[in-house]
Amino acid sequence: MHKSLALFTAMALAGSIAVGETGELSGNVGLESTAFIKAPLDENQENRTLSLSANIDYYHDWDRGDQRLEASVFGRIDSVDNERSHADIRELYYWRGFASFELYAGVRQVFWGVTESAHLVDIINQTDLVESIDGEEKLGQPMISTFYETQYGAYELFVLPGFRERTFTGEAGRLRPSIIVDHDNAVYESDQEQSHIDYAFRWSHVIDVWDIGLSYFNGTDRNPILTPTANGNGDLSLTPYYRQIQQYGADLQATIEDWAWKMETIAVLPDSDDDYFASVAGFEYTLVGLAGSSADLGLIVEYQYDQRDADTASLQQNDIVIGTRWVLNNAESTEVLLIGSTDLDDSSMIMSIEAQHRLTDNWSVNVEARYFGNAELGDATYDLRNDSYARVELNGYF
Amino acid sequence: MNYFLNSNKNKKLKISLLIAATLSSVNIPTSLAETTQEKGLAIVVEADKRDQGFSDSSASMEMILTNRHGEQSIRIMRNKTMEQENDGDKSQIVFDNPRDVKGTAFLSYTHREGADDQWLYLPALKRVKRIASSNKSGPFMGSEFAFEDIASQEVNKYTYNYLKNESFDDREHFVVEFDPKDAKSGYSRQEVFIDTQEYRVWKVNYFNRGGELLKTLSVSDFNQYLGQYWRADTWTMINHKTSKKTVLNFQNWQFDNGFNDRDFSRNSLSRAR
Repeated sequence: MHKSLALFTAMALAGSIAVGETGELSGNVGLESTAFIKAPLDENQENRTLSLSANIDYYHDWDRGDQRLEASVFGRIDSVDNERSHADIRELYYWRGFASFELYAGVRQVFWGVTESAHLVDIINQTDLVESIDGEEKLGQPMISTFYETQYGAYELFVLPGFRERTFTGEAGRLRPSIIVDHDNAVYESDQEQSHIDYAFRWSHVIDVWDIGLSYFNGTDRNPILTPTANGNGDLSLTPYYRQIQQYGADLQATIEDWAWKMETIAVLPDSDDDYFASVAGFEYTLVGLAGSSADLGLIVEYQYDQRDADTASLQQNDIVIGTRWVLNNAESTEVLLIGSTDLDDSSMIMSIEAQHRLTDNWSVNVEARYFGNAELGDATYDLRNDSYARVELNGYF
Repeated sequence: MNYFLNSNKNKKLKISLLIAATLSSVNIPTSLAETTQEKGLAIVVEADKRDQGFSDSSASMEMILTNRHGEQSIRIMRNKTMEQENDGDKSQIVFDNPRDVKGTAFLSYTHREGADDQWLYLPALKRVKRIASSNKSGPFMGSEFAFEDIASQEVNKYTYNYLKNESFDDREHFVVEFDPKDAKSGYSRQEVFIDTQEYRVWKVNYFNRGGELLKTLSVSDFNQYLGQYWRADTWTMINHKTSKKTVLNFQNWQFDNGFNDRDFSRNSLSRAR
């Protein structure tokens, strides 16, 4: 009797700790070193940079896991580029799960999409471009959003107050246009500028092997148009211009045995400019147990098409991307991703290699190298022709 | 929810290796004309039947990987599983250690027939990725356990053959051969040792596609929950080819968590902590 009561109490106590109230502080510190192979185009730029970054995450759950406070703060100090030395609240939100829907309020990061080489439908968060030119690092976006799931799919509504401007590399930094982006003097189509309230809607569903998403966005375009502007002294800079747009997006993945077929398409309807569409489609094929080993080899092929001219926005217009992903499945989780992309309209190409390897339970190392080749005047990567680089990052986790 | 009343609606044929083992000591009916295939299937169906109706469970998992030099590395995860009425289980695994993969979450919908559905959440990119479930023979987190060893297993995914009875550790066992129907399985066959009293899996010998003994799993430290369901705390997998070893320890088994579909949705993966 006493024994079972004690057991019951112990279980109840354990239960309240496990599902009732939990929280944890965690994070990581990264030391990054970058070396550029060729001399810079601008004498203000450096050939070697050193950079220290930190990420601190905290969450607290209560109300039997039905309420959560989540915080994620990022900061970086760069030895060369003042613009890359920056801090950002990646996430700081309150979440509550109600019986039939979920509510988020605060700063969040939300990813949409399926493809590897371009993220077209992903529009909620602004790109933190100083972090990486691959566009995968994002700034936190203030929002109120709801999530409602039925047997016919999940419905999400986003109200997005507070526009975030894209970050741009400063004068001393590499991997930038030859003309500096003057992001302090951004121009907006909307009179409300950064206070314009954007909204978005997404429906997503899983039907058998298909993962399907349809989305709509109305508000300030995350991709600015960069316009050369002369200031009073006659110095030239690029001024970001943020348009008002509507964007319809569709993303689709079919996962069939060793094949993942992927497609993302967007139609962009600017309020006062020509409509255009862009698409990326391809596959990832995984060869499991390469040559009798426990390693997997993935083959990635994607084709990118963008109706816009090269000089307006994205680096990709009519490109083919071929990559291999080598996953060793070892205790150190070693992975190597090798990707080459070339523009079918000119001969410019980008080669990149990304590798990661765990050193200990608390330390890992990442290596990244990119080569920009054959770019001629007028090509999208022309300004990066001297900026091929190799980067090593050591990450410590706590 | 009531685990004792829903055995009727649970007509599924499923055993979960992660969770395999059962209770009540009713002997399976054996007719004299029964073939070894029929007897093997009957044993597995009985083991499956005894584990039906647990509704949901959760547990902490610690994996200790040891290489042939004796060097160790540790994986810490949390698992939760929910039974489905007319399908395989839904389960989710969240990683806590190593720290670089902390917050990575794995979601799996097992199906009685055909390929399972699997998603992976990558916290650095806030991205949920559907992944190919054909990769069942690959190592799970660099360990000696393959994905297919820890996935919930459905009766219909194998054919069976009763081999013999064998006694060890003061227990009598049925030895049943499991032949995977899926050509993507890394195994030609498995020898599964199921005790004759409680139908718990104590040992599995895995044979590679070449027919050689590849790995041996030993299961121990069983406890009974809700007066019916047996769960083991210690799973030791030894790879005979590489001399590597992985010990998987379960702690804090909990039942009656009241999980619902929302806890196993793609969206819930990004909230998993």
